[in-house]
Amino acid sequence: MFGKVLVANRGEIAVRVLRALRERRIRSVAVYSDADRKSLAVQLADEAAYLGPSPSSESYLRIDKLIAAARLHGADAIHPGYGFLSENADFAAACAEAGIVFIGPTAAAIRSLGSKTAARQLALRVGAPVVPGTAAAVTDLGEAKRIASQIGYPVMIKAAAGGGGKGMRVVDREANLAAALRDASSEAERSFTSAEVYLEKALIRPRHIEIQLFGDHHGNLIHLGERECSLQRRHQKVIEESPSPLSAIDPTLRHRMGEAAIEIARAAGYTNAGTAEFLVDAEHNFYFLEMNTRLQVEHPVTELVTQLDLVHLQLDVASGAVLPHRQEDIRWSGSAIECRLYAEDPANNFFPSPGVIERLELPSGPGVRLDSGVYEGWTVPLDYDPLLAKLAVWAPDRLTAIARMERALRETVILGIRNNVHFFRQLIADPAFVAGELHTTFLNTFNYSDPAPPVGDALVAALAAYRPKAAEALPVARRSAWRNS
Amino acid sequence: MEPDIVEIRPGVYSVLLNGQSFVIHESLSSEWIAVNSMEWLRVLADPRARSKSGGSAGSAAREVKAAMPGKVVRVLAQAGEAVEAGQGLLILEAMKMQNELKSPRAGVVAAVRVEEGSTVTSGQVLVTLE
Repeated sequence: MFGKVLVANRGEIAVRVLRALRERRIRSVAVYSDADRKSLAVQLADEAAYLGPSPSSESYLRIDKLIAAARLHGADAIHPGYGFLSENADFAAACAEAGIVFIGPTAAAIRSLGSKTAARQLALRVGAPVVPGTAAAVTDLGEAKRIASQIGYPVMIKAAAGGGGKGMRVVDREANLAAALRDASSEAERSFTSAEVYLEKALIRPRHIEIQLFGDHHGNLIHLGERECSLQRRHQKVIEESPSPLSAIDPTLRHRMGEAAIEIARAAGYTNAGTAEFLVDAEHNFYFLEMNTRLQVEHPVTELVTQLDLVHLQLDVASGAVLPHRQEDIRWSGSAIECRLYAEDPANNFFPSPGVIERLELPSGPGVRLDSGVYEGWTVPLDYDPLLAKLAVWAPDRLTAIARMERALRETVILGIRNNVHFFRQLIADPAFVAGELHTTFLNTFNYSDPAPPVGDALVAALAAYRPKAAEALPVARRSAWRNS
Repeated sequence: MEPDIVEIRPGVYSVLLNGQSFVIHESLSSEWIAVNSMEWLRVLADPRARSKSGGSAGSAAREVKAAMPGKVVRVLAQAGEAVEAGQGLLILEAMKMQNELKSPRAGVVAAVRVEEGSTVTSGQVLVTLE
């Protein structure tokens, strides 16, 4: 096992990995930019290395600085977390070259699965179902028109190197194809430095269900079941759960999808943690989308239902150990749900809301797990994504899990920045959500509304009277003078 | 009936009002409170609401302010340029998301007070209209 590991990330995932390192009695090194000097990760790690200015291009994305920090601190391995350099084959290769273990798949496996078109071709080769469309990048309009009419509209244009909804367009008829191709391609170039796009049939109201995979360096590959991540906004996941509500209706689904995912991973020589993403249509047909060659944000829901620790497993596998579990050892129990708590304003098109967390009350108690990267007094920087914490719950069944989440959200208070706690309170009470009728366009039609203050006026007046100083600062208390966030 | 208030710990109060008991959390800036863990933001402290409510009243209509802290990634209008209501003036980025700031009315841009790459705070005046 490793003696010291550098965590090349920030926020809640850095904290998550640091915790696992301490549990394994491995020394840890956190890294930080100017904006993260006071971060929770820096406080929790055994050692910390300064990377540079706040923009990630000058800190968390700098391969040279990370390798230098690992050398300086004598780390023998690097955990990349998710995002940043976690799926960067050059980073994995640079680690290998420096004699540092990259805790993830090999550079070669990242390359063969990193591009969506390459992953798609691989899936086709092993006979896994994919969404009908082009196997390679589309370069000219004539070809695009021919393929689109063959697979039928609506079609989806996607960036080959992409993710997060960038370089993605839905086209419902041929007249709009040329403009959409141009837009998607230029957006792809700006976002991923590759203008390559491809075409897929657009499925109507599909579910997004993914399979967690694990491979070791001895040829063993297993799956840890599915996660349903259909609730997305701008192609970013908002709530994840395991098992999928569809598993209750179709008990063979997990096994069928798991087998397909393993075949694809085997063909790529995949090791360590990975996730195969699928779309599932109304008839329960599933189609392979892409492979995420890293630990996922939403891994806690899998941990809660399998009782396995995925970061511990990553450390085991990366240090050369044989996977300690065979497929037949994996058991799933109960139901887990995760809400991503973001610094964003649900009443203003979910615009990010960086700033100081002036007051923070966090939930605990039976069945509640909180993966947080923040604390009271912390300034949420505007340089990075707005994820504050992941609130996950486990219960014996889905309805109890929903009730438990409702309870945990009720214990949560975040003051000083806008956040989506109220949004989740409304979302998990939605009858369609409770019924498990989920699809990737669910949130397009879900209407969030600010609830009216309960008895705000009288209370505010009372408080103002109690604190003479506060009275000046507070407005004349009117019901409309307060809004929630 | 007079409300009865007890400070539980700094910034957290128990309020007894008309026989009902509430727990109130107050933020340091006094701009936010939570009543029984439901959070409320003081609207008058919200620059967005301020510019909305003052939209027709003189200075507010002349100033376009940042609704959120962020970074100016693109300036779309120059001083002296005539703009339509709703026309984009500049693009602000925070946390990997871009937001276009639009002109609240038709008019002529008097000054652009920031440049591309500037970091701005919430409520800061970015553009003035004549």
